[in-house]
Amino acid sequence: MKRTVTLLAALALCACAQDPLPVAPSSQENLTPQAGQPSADPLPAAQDPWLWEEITTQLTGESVDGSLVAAFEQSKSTLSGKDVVWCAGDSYRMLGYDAEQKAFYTCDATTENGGASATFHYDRDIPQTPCYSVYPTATRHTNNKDYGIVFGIDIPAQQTATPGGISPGANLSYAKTERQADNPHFQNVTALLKFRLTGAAAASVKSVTVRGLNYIAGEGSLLTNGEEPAVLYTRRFSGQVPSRTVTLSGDFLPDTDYYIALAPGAVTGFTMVFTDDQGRHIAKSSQNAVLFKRSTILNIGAVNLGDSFADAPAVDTTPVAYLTATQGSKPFTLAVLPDGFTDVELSDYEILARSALDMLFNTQPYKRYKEYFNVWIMKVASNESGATVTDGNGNAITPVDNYFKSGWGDGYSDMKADTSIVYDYLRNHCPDMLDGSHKKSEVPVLILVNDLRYGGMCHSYRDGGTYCQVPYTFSGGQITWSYPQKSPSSDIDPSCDVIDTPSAVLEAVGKSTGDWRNIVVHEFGGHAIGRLLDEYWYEEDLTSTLVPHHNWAVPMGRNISASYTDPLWKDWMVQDDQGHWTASPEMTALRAHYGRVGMFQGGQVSVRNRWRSEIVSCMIDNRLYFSAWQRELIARRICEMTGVTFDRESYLAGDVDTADPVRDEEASPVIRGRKEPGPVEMPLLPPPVLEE
Amino acid sequence: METYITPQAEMVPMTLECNILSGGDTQATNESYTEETITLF
Repeated sequence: MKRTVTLLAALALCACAQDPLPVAPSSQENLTPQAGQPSADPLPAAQDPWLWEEITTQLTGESVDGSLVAAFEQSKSTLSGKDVVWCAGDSYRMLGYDAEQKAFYTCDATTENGGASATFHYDRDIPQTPCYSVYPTATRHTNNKDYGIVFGIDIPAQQTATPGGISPGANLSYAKTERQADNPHFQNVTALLKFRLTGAAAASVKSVTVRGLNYIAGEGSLLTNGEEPAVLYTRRFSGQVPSRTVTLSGDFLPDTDYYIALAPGAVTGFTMVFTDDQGRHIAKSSQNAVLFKRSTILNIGAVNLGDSFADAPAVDTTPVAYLTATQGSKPFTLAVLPDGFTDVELSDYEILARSALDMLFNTQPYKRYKEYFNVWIMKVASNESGATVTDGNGNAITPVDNYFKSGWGDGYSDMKADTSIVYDYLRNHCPDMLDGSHKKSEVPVLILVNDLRYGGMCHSYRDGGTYCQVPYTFSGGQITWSYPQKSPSSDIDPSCDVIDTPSAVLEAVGKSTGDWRNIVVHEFGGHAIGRLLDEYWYEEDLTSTLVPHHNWAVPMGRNISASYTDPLWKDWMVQDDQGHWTASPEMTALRAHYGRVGMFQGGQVSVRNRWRSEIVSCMIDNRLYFSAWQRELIARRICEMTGVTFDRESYLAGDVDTADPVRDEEASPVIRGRKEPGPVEMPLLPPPVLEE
Repeated sequence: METYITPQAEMVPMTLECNILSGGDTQATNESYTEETITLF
């Protein structure tokens, strides 16, 4: 979704010296996603907030769109050893500001002869001002208060195998000169992977795909505000999703150097997939993140593919034990399943599963009780990547042939999998179900979905059974969740007004920032394992005086009270003469953070007539903090599932890690040594589906 | 509930001159790559 901002003439008050360079106006309104509305863009509207406000080049009157493909086809600077050499016909794009015309201009310069030092000619009238040049071209640009001149660039995700060289158009570079007439010295923007293929199978390779868990190519932004250019994928100029892969296609000569250009940065889940003319794969993955540095060739040397693609080993789908219980009389078994991961993507899945489980088991009380769990990372490949896109009501619009039939639409509320397939698979493959020690109702399931959309859902059943789904949202990009902006005016009176949440409250609770793994902690740790209900609220009321799920065979939602006078967590509080609850002085003396316990109106999506025990927790905005009462409930559930008698005194003695990282710990947001755009803020996810 | 953290618009001061060139030539050069070797697989 392209948004064009017309420059305001008032921004340039003077035509000559000391003239301010206009910046794109901030437009918070324009960046507000329209959740739930259909969009023709590749990304749902809710993912638009990364877009820069764009500035057009009024002086030239040229379209800033559309020339990228032609530029790539024409440009072909190549390598000579480690040197970059211009080729005849190469051109680059210049950008500057014309104060007299009060507009930015763009102008392309072209060389006839090429060479290590090449003469480039340009034809139009341009002022002698600072000039920003991008090779082979930049389609779009903006001038931003915090980041200065930012270009829209595209590192090709499809590159052509070129023996000893770089694919045409893939070697992006950038130069800045103080005056347009100055000779530019271009800095390389990309990093290069260098490899050669050996083994008899190398002769039949037709493509080599490099894959990571983060974006490494595609449309992104080029930041120019540092000493070196930097590629940024968290803000961009179009709704086109960047790419986690780069594919080099063509005929490959054995024992010959090839190069793949990609965005600099640490690539986790680094995998190379070699494909032959029959579509057969050989995949090789790195256990560790691989660091690609700007203007650096990373030479991995020879990759031996063996004698034949037919000999390639099948993907190992043996379940991996992430945790094995050493405490309790019976393990509390959890199962993690992949959906929408093809066979060559299962290595991605295992990294993601471990990363999410690491976050869960570093959050209390799971950290304290991790020795009571068996956690299985199950592995099964899907025929296709991703998840089905629905119309929001469960009807497939874009079906994806994934194993467990995960899919959802805008609004995320119809997110589900096929439970018969889920439990058939677990019965036949999960070691703790195969041996008969665990029923399906005793094994909470997390399905990690290989889909970059926002979402998260938990389905819970009366008998204790539960599964949740969490996608790899935004390829791991940062997300901020906001505290509800409307609140009840009283924590006591269920007939009170609903008011704007006081700014003092918003300031006190802070902003929760994280990524898709925080959603795992909320859905899996909070709903599925802890059997907690959401503690956020919408502007609507539940009027019943009971939480019916408290009476399920395996109760759910004991973190929510439908009664001010008789809350389940009254052991944590004292009541004054008027019947008002406050944190118990005795408990507060034990741990200062226990002073946060009280009766707060709002929860279970109801703004009034439901109460929660603390002002904020993971069950509101996905922060890595379960409240004191939630921790006790989770600990009780773990004890119940593992045959351990819950002893409150010893529980409290061990509940020492009580801090909320959002409110109690310093954040360190510096990324790559420079200030970068903040995380995208997303609405809270829908409540769990509670099924009888 | 959806609001976005967005940089606020602000003037960026910059000295600009008004000399206009009617086309011309530049001599462009490139940075060379450096190379590092690792064993991955």
